[in-house]
Amino acid sequence: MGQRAAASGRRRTWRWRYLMDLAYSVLLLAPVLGVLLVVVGYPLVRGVYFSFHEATPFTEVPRFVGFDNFARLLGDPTFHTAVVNTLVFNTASVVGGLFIGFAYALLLNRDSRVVRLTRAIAIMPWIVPYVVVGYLFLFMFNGRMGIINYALQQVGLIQDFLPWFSRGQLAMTAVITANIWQQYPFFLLMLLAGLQSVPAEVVDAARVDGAGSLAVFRYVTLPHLTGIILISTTLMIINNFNNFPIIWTMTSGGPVNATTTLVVLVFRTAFNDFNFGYAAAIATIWLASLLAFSQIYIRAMRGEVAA
Amino acid sequence: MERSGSALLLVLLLAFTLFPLFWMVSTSLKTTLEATDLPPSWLPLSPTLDNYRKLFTEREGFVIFVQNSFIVCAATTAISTLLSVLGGYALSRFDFRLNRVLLSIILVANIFPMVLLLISLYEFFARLQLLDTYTALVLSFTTFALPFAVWMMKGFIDSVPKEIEEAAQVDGCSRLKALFSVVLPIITPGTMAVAVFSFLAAWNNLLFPLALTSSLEKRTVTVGLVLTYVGETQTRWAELMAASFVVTLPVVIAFILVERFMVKGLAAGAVKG
Repeated sequence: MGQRAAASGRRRTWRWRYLMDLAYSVLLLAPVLGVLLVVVGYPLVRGVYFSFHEATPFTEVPRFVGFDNFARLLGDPTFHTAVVNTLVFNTASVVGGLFIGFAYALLLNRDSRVVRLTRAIAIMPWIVPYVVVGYLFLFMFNGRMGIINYALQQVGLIQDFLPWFSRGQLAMTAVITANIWQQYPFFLLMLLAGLQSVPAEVVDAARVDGAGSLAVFRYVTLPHLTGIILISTTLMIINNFNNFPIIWTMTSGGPVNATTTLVVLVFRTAFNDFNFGYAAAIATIWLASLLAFSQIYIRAMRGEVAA
Repeated sequence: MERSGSALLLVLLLAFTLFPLFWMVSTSLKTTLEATDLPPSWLPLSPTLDNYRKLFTEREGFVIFVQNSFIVCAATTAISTLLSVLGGYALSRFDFRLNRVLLSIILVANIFPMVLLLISLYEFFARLQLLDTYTALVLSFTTFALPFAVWMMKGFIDSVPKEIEEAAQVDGCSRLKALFSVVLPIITPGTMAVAVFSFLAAWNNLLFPLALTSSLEKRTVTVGLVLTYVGETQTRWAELMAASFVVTLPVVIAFILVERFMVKGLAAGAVKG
């Protein structure tokens, strides 16, 4: 009898504790939840709603048009260009950034005062505001007096100055270069953290077994880094989809549409042409295609891939 | 052989990293004419601080832009840091289904096209007559600052052993009190990192203020740079580089203060294995 009463008492305190915890948790999360509902939840739903409507910032009531906006997208050459440009910009930036970040990380995976200083210097581009990065490279790539043209000419790689911003592929190259400069430090930081967590015993064991530096890198270091490479690449791909300031400051999407990525196209459609419905449709397609990857992304962010 | 190869590669990489920064500072100390001279002078022939003086005297706009950015970014930082301490704690310590769902939503929020949210926010603020106000800027900056802040903060709180608070609770401390008097002091570096991150993200943003502000009085520095120095016919390069340097400076200072913690926070999630 006494025992049972004690057990039910324990259950009651347990349940009481559970309820208290739940109340605390909800209370603590309420402000975050409230703000996110207003600034993320509502705009997201409203945005998708716009994509099925014809709307300008000035229309009182958006007109329902079903899938018209999406149907128009399929045949819109500018949209196709923007998709291709986004993929080119994104892939080249991530590959370039990963490559440079990796090279730096391997060189700086030691510990001394000089190495720490060099590391701090190597990270610097990461904190330069995007807009500044854009203008800095716009200046350096200038077709009339840019230092890059001058240097290339002095070295003998080109005869005449290249009109970087009036030819499509050149403009894309300039924009990607600026972007790589800005974002390689992120890869450097992530890969360095990864390299430092490679267990020394395993490396030593491999060495004892007669593995050379290259073999150690190939069979010990690289497999250990796969998770981190996956995470940092995923993060940067998502980041680059939203990358607006570098392109806007350097080319505003030009010449013609040679550097118009999705984000630039949506911005222009919404705020230069005031076509909210069509702009929202473009962004909704983009959202849907990224959501397809969200499972991988969530798992990567929770460290499940790395662990 | 291998050593000198590495050394050469490192020098090349450092040149790639440092040259643009050197060029920004060097150009900012030149006269308007010298900045676009051919052949270019590597160092200013007669260094002058004229461009910097102009920023703060002749072009009154710049001072306003810097002020605006400070106000808006500070407010964004305060809101997202405070809310992320509360929310991050709940997400770290309680494992209710609601919490797990919310954590997923917060992570997925990073995927959302900011420009899609901007379209709706623009309409929302227009209806409330809030276009061209600090309120609109702060709220819209929270869109990207808050989710990341909560996620980072959760990571930092995860690293504080539960036993420490439990001991405090046994001593008769309430849970909320334990958060502020026991957990918060331990994660101060983390909190600083979250604050700096929020500030930087807001300071860097161009997309939102470009659409949401219309008057010179409410422009942030990023929009200020875009709309002031870059002309249809001619860009004032020397001045633009000086302005760029001034815009970069607060960011660099803030970063140096918390670099250690920030890097740790970023890597914490990634390097579990």
